Parts: sequence; C-alpha cells; structure tokens
Amino acid sequence: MPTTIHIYRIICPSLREHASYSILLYMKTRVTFRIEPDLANALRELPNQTTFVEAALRSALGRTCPLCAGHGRLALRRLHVANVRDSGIERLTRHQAQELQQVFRLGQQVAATHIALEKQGDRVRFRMSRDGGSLLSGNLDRQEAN
Amino acid sequence: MAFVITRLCRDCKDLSCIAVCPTNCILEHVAPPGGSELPNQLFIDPDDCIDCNACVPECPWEAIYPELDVPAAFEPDVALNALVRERRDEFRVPEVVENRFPSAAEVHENQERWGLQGDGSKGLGSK
Repeated sequence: MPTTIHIYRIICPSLREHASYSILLYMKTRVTFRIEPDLANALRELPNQTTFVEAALRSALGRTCPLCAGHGRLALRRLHVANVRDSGIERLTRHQAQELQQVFRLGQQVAATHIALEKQGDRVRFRMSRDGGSLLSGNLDRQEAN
Repeated sequence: MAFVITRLCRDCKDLSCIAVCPTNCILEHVAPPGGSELPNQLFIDPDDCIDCNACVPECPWEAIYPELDVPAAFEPDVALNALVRERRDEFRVPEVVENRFPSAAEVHENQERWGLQGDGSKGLGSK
C-alpha cells in the first residue's frame, strides 16, 4: 500500500528533495533573534537563509577555544612567578621589573600558570608556561634600549 | 621571605611602588560593608611578592622593608601585611595616580611620628 508521500513523489519527483529538506529542518532547533531592519531585508532576499546564518555563525565562532573547550569560561587559576632570590638573581632593576610586569599581564591574559626566571650572565631570562607547556620566553633588559 | 609595607606609608600612599611591582602584589584595603577598617596604607601580599626589590627604591617615604629587616618598632606591620592572605577579597590593586614627592624633612618627620629611631636599619633579622 503506497503512502501519501509515495504518491506525491510519483506525481512530482522533485518532491523527494523537498521532503528530505523538511525532515532536515525538523532536526534543527528554531532560534529567534532581533536584528537591524537593513540586515533583516538583506537576509530575506537570500535564497537559503538557514544555510547562510549557520555558515556565518560557524565562521564567526571559529575553532573551539583550546583553553575553555568552547564553554566560554575559564577556571580561575593563579599565575605563579618564580621568586627572584631563589632564582639566583639579587634584584630586578626598575626596567626589568616593569618588563616583567608586562609579561605578567600578558600571562594573565593567556591563562599562563607559571613564569620562571633564570639568571644568565648579566641578563634575566623568563619562560612563561601553562601546565608545563612553554608559551613564551625572552630576556628582561636591565635598561631601556637607546 | 617577602617585603613588608610599614606604617610609614600610612596616610601617604604614594602609589609609585605599584607602577613597578611585577606581580600586582601591592594592594589597598577596601573594607566590606560592616567589616573592620584597616589602617590607610598599602599592603604587600606575601604569597605573591617575588622579592624583586623593585618597590623599595620607589617609595619616597622609605616605608618598604624586607621582612627580616623590618625595624622592631614596626614589627606588628608584618602580621598586618599578612592579613592579605586571610582576607584577600577585601584587597585590590589601586589605580596609580601621581603624587607630590615629599621633602627629606617631611620623610624624617614621618619617621619620627611613627617612632622610628636612628636610620631604621636595625630590623627583626638582626635581633
């Protein structure tokens, strides 16, 4: 016994595509949002609004964030900076302290967990890491370069 | 060991030290509603201080000492700074504003006001 949709498909072969498309639409979640009138007009003129909006959203969201795994929130973790004296450094110059301040702020932004310091001759070398993985390393200059 | 901001900072709060502190460990106290007020001075979080010594020469009031060199007259200030550990939520990094640099006479007068005798070099470490 042919079903109604089978009969329709015999009458109109292109309905096969329409039926499949309808089933796919039911598998999606409806989202309603408000946008500016000019954007709304532009969207209405598009032949396939759903596909366009989906592609635009995926493009805007990009890759899943490796830090938060897409959750959008990071657990608050302390950034530990090595003790200067324990690192064999007598003291930091004013310029080195301010450079380390910038490194520290960057470390907070990229969710670093540790900044190690090491005396290398006349220089102080830093290595920023997250859970043991190196993120950035460099030198803290004693004085501002001329 | 960490550095300690002593009572020589009270009511002065020059804030120059904050501009150089690499780890944002110099803080001011903001009492919660109904909470107890602490003296009007800056404090160093002993857990975040990395002993870099950068703040010491910045303070025009000469209020910052290594923990072991804190003058005996200011010994209670070590525990006062350590309060940051227990009440971290009540402390924040203040915004840096430029202040007038005090004269040598004003610095000396402030030291006398808080009972600092001599050059202040006799600290806890030399007891």
